[in-house]
Amino acid sequence: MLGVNRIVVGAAVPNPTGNPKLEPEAEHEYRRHLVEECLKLLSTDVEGPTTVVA
Amino acid sequence: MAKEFKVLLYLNNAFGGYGFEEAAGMGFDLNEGPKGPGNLLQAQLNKQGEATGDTYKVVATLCAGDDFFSAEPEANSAKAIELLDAYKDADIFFAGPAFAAGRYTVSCGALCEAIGAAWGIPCITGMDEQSPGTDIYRKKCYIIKTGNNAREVPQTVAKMARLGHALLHPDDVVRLTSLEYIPDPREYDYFTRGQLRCTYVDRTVAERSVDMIVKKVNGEEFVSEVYPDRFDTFDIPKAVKDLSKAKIAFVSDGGLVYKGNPDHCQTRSNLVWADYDLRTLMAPGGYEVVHAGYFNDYVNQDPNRLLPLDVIDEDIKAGKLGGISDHYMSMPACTTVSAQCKKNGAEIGEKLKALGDVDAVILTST
Repeated sequence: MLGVNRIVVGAAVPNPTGNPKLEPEAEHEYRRHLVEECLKLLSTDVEGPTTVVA
Repeated sequence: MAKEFKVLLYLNNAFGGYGFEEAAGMGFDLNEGPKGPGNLLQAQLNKQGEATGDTYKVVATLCAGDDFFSAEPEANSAKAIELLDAYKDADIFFAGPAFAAGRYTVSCGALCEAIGAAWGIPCITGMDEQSPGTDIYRKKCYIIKTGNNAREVPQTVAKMARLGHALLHPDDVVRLTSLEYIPDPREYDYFTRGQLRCTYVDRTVAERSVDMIVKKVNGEEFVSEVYPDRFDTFDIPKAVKDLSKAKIAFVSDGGLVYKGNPDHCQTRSNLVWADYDLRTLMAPGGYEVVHAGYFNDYVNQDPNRLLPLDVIDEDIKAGKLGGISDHYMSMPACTTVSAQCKKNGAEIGEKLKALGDVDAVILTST
């Protein structure tokens, strides 16, 4: 989409890297998971636009 | 009332009959009357004119070499306007068609833009979609869609003549802001110019939309009323080799800015971006959200929901990541046109490169 080459799907439009419905600790764990996926994708060579659903 | 319209034409060395590459360096040559495809153009225009009783005459043909003209398209366009001064009562200007030729399409586009701006007359050329002239000039003048083969001169000249006749015979106002007459790009087969046409219809947008979606679901053909923007493709950046030595920067379109919004970012259709100190911004009371496109409370409660700094800091502490830049680039973008995003994105990219120590970016989007 739009030529973006590395995409990790976030939680939701109003809170891409969080989830207000979760307890603070669980939300933090969720964010950790998303960031790990981002860093993994950044350090992976891709052939074309690549989307990861975390 | 029948009228005789005066027509001007521009051709390059090849179509003007001067020769091919050996003549590409030639300067201007102004000829009275039609030359090369100009004879066909005049005939096609007169064929169009039969319906209204009008006649057309190609009064002059300006020619120049491709190398010569395309070396300085703007300066040469200004020079051409001086040379054509005796013909400035012309009703319409044509250039080419130039098909997919690099130098010729740029020359035709530049000249059409300059003459249209100087004299306020319709200017028409013809190009292939992939040509360099199409991208630069499609919004500045009328460009008939062609293939990339000069064998298509007859069909293309006929289309140029038909569009020219239509432009000189406005049958309705179709642009409410300027009261211009803009022929339908689909009907006349030219590249859209990014203008909004006003069209009278007897069915509401809801009825038309439902019709289209039903056709789509049934696999039937339908014609959209909206042209989506074309998006570029990019070279894919290589992977970061060693995250433990890499520095990341945050960029976001989610509207997180300094408290008080000192850069006056707009909640809608914002046009500016800003470079903020990440730690100052993320401190309690350091930020606010300027974005009309989503419910802002969750990010206002905890900005890590937009910029995941808490986790990034833990990764840095654990040695998994080299660092995070102090510079956070913010461009609140809600209903901002893509052309502006492209411009700002390029500026942000330059800025990040100029910092010299950023290896990768995490861009979060709402």
